[in-house]
Amino acid sequence: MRTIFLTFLTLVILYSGFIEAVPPARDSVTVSQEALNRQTVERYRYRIKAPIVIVGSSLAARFAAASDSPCVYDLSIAGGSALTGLSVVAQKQDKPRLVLVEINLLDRPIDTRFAEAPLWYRRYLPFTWVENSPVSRLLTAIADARGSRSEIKSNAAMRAEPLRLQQASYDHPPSATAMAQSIKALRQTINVLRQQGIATSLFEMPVDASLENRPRSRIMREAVKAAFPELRFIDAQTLSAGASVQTADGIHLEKEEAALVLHRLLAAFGSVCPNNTAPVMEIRR
Amino acid sequence: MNYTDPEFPVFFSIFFIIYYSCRSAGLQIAALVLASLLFYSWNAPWLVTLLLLTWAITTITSYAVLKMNSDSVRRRIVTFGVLLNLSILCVFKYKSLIPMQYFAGSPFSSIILLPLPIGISFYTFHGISLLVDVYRGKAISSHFSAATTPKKYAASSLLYLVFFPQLIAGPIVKARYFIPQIGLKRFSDIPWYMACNTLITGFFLKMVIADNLSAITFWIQYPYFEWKSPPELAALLYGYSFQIFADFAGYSLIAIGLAALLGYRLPDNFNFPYSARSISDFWRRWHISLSSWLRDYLYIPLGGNRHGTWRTNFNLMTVMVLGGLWHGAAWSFALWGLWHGIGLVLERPFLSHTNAFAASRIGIALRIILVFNFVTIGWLFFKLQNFSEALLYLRTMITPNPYVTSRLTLLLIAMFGLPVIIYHVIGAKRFILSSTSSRLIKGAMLFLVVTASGPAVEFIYFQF
Repeated sequence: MRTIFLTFLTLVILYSGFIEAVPPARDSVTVSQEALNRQTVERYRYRIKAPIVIVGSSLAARFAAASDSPCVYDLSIAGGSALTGLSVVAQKQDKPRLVLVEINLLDRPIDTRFAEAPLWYRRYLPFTWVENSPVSRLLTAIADARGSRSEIKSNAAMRAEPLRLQQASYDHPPSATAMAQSIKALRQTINVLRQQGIATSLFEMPVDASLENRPRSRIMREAVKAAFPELRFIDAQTLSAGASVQTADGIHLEKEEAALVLHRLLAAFGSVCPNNTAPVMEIRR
Repeated sequence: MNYTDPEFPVFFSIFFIIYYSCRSAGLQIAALVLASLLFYSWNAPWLVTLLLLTWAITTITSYAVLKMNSDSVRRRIVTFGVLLNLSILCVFKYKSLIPMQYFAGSPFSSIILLPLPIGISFYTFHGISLLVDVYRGKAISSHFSAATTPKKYAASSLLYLVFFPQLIAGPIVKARYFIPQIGLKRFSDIPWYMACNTLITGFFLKMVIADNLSAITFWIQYPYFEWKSPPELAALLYGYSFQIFADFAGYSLIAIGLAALLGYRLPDNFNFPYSARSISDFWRRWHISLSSWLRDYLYIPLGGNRHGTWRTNFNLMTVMVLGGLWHGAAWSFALWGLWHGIGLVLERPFLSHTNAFAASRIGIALRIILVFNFVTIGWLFFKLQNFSEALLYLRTMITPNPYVTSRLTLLLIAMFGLPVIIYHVIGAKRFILSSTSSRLIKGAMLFLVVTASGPAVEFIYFQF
């Protein structure tokens, strides 16, 4: 018994020293999407402070890999909606100056796995954070040694079937009940943030041109604009500059495209970070 | 409540102190029953009603069996009790197969709409085991006598049914094994090393291996698997094979470890099943408590292997298909049972004629690989409970497509599958690690539980 717990304690102490000496990579590799979401939330809760925070779904989560600007933090949750990230922002002591809310999948509910405050002591135990997981560190080291991250490029053949399914899905309007609940929750959180002196703006992520004006996109866009006429709204047309964007499956931008869209989005709010509106990553088209 | 929920350690610690503060067996049993009911009803208190109904039926009928002298009356009562237990199981578990239109507006229709009570398959089998063991006289020999009061009998049967370490997903403990253990437990008798060893291995298998693999095998669902390459689909299937073992064996080890801390010994549920050399060997090693339950209470009463080859084969197929359906109301479970039944029937002639090659190291290794692959293909019908989706998965797995294999997926499955393979190699070869090495490894496993756990996912067998 004693040997087991002494071994455990020794490993914890040694590993804590290691993670103190070797900080985690910004774009560390995680085991799964769930782990990536947890890492995104933990980083924001425990150590990152940025004047602009982006909240959204997996669509806006594409920004995370596209920029390492200290001006902006991407708190988007893959598989979730902007409401999850907003609720995390509302709980944090250090507030941002501006929150940018992606509206594309706003009808999804809050994901309580990420929105609920974690056990208080986890803040003080960095070895339990996802970014410091030995598995994540090992995967990141392997990826670094190979000089690449697993960013799968799509082609026309691979994109065809997922795009067809997205088109079928976008032909259906979002649930009116879910929309009403989400808009109500969004309004409440925005009011809380406003009282704390935090500005909020809305934006629509560009998707494949064939999806932009289908019932799902159109109804969502119009409902949000009607519900929040006082907020600045940047639509997909503006962010894609009128051109068709390159996506992996009809809705998720490829890395270079995400960098370009983020650049345009931040440029619209240049006054918040005047010296830091451009993503550091090189933009290639 | 789940063993991996953050509130469970708090619940167990408080209960542990209360439990060993009780100075009499009666108080300890009462505390254990109350804690078990609290554990069970944590998220859905109404579920306790059905559990208590099952207990009342089982207790009244089995006590009547204990007290009656006439064998024909005892047989009738035990049959009635077993049928009542099975009826409850069938109503709640197989209600999706019942045509709803015939019951519209009746009180039965509201029952049909209720969700499946967690653990019902397990506590129903416990109830049947108590009835049959009392009838056969097995449970009464050391614990119950004709002078046993109804109060003592009811308390013992309640504890047997609700004992929380095994309540939700087993192991399925036979009454004759558990009931004689009921009594006053002392703190000084706790087998600390065995309990901690078992708990650490269980939590490691569940939280590090199974939970991480669950995030990867998530893609074994329609239509996502259609966009994966054939090698990736094959790797995902192996990943699920490792995951379901780690999930269920992990759960069973946690249950055994917790029971040991409370002074009870539960039977082993897994004996390195992926090192099995035949399908029948696999079933002696996988979910041992269910397979031995089916053997004792179904296969042997059906006649076992005592009535010739054809009858034996029929019995094997029947037991495996019913064993498959025990998992849920889906034809894919029956197909999964049938798959194993066919395997058992087909291998029988070969088992008695093993040649030198089959007994050689290479022959044994090939047999283990063959059995592992057979079992792994069978898991697809377990994971994809829609039969047509399972067939589509198999077809996609053997048809070339333009999708690129994710190296990360292959790496992760290898990374989390390797400890399962090492666990089996150590077990199968009976490697004796020095006690110091063993403790160092356990310390490292505990470190990984704290630092490398996957997302908290419910145990796969909770749905059964």
